[in-house]
Amino acid sequence: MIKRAYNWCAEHPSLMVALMAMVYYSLMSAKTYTWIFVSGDSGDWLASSTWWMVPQPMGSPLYILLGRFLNVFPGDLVVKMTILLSCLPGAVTVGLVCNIARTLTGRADLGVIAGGVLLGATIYLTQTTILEEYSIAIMFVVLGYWFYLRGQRKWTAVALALGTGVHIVVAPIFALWLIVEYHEWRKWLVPLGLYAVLTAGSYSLILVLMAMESPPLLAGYLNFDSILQYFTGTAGAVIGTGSIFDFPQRLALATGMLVVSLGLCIIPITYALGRPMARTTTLMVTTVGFALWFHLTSLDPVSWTFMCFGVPFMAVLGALGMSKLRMKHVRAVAIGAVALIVINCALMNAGQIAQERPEAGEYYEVIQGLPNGSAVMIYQSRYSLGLFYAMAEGREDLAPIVAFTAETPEKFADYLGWMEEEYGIKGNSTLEMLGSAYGQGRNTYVVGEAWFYDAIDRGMWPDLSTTFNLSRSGSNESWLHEVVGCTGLSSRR
Amino acid sequence: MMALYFPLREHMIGLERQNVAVSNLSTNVVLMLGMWGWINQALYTKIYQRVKKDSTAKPPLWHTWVSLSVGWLAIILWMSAWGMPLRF
Repeated sequence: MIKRAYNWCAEHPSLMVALMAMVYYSLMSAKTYTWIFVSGDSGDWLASSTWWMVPQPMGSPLYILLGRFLNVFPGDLVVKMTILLSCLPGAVTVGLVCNIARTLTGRADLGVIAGGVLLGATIYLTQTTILEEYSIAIMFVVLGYWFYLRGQRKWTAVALALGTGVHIVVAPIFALWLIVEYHEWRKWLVPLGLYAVLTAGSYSLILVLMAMESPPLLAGYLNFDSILQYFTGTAGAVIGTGSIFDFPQRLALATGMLVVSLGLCIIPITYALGRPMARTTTLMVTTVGFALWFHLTSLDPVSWTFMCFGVPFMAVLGALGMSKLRMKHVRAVAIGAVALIVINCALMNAGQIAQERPEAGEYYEVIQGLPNGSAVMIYQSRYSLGLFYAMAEGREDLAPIVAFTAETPEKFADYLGWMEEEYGIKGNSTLEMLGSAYGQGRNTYVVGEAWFYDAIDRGMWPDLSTTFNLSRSGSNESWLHEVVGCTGLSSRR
Repeated sequence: MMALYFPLREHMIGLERQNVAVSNLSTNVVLMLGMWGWINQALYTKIYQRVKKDSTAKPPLWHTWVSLSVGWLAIILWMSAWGMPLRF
């Protein structure tokens, strides 16, 4: 019986590795609302999974649909989304990596080691144990590659379309794959059509939400300008605009993160890059190159999460390199991977870290406890997304005054109109709205991290500090200030 | 490796504000310029060798400068059209 079970496990190494990964990720995952590991966007995903609203650009329609689907069932949405949309896809990816490495090298042991390398990869672990969209998007990319290896182009396109529905960054990855495959362009025409239809279908949800006139907090109502502003507003200012003077530090950080994530596997990867390179390898190298480029040249310092798109392929490349090495070197890489799995267990346990650093949970509790009808001024950040989450969870009475610095209020016309209609708060600028809310007799708060107040104190936003008297509120003095006075408004209604 | 691990752990937990230097020169522009120069020179070399019917012939250096200038202009126009901030 035991022998039969052992044989069965030996015949299905990918499945066994995936099951172990599922247990590992589930135990390590954060089961509370948290902002650790760059998961500040989780408030947005939770709000969009509860409340019909357009999430942040570029929309992630499939992800919020899955969130809404999970919300139908009883249980804590944070736990359901973390386990089923981060841990589970992460474990499936580990299994797929094992299978791909086994297929490419013809060796089951190297497949298992590649799966182990991915399981021990620190940066990848961060995204599989929190509520974020990367894990499931990466799973679809790796699944697409797996179908590609099997010669199933249509299924590759379907997997990548699903990935694009979760995160738009999968679209340029597919484009790069098509460039590598340009010799076979005729064979890709039908899959490409399929991809376009599925992607357009999923992203039409964003247009539907705009047309439904859901709260215009992150996008306006359906018109050409809103669509253009939504889809081009953020990315163009971040992607590829990192400063050349920041580059050395960024490169050092990225290299460090890859070294502590992949350990000794970095060495065999170099052996896999020799020429002539098979097209299957070129495809992986392209994906890794894109992921690295994205982070190294992005203005956003926390864009290291995008490197995770390359990590599963690095594990496979490591296995390819190991196939050229001696057994003692392969064993060293395997031991290194196991060491990382153990070290991460102690030091990168998201559940434990989330308990030790409960900023998000505390913020959520304080927002939930604000007096009825309060107005909260926030700038676009994890704080605004956390506020939307609290609003979606029954605090729709809170008036969200979103700080915007644009000189042209017509860009925010839908939002300004909605604020007036819903809350009676008028104004063409953040300060006018804050004054309007205070004048109405609402409890009015300004929320922001310490640097935000430092900036106000240094006069970077002189109107706010000279117009309003802000009082530090309770124990949350670092980020919650109450408006207790306002120049030009001698009496409150 | 552990000496690397601890500072990077804090970086990855990422609850502190992480600043970035905004300067007048983007890494991407430099990368694109370099790639344009490389691709253009490689392509031109192939064409040049075919015209000269000599697979070892090398094109004149002045072409590199012309192609880089054209590339620079193309990148500026493309970025302007895309609405990306120009950081020169």
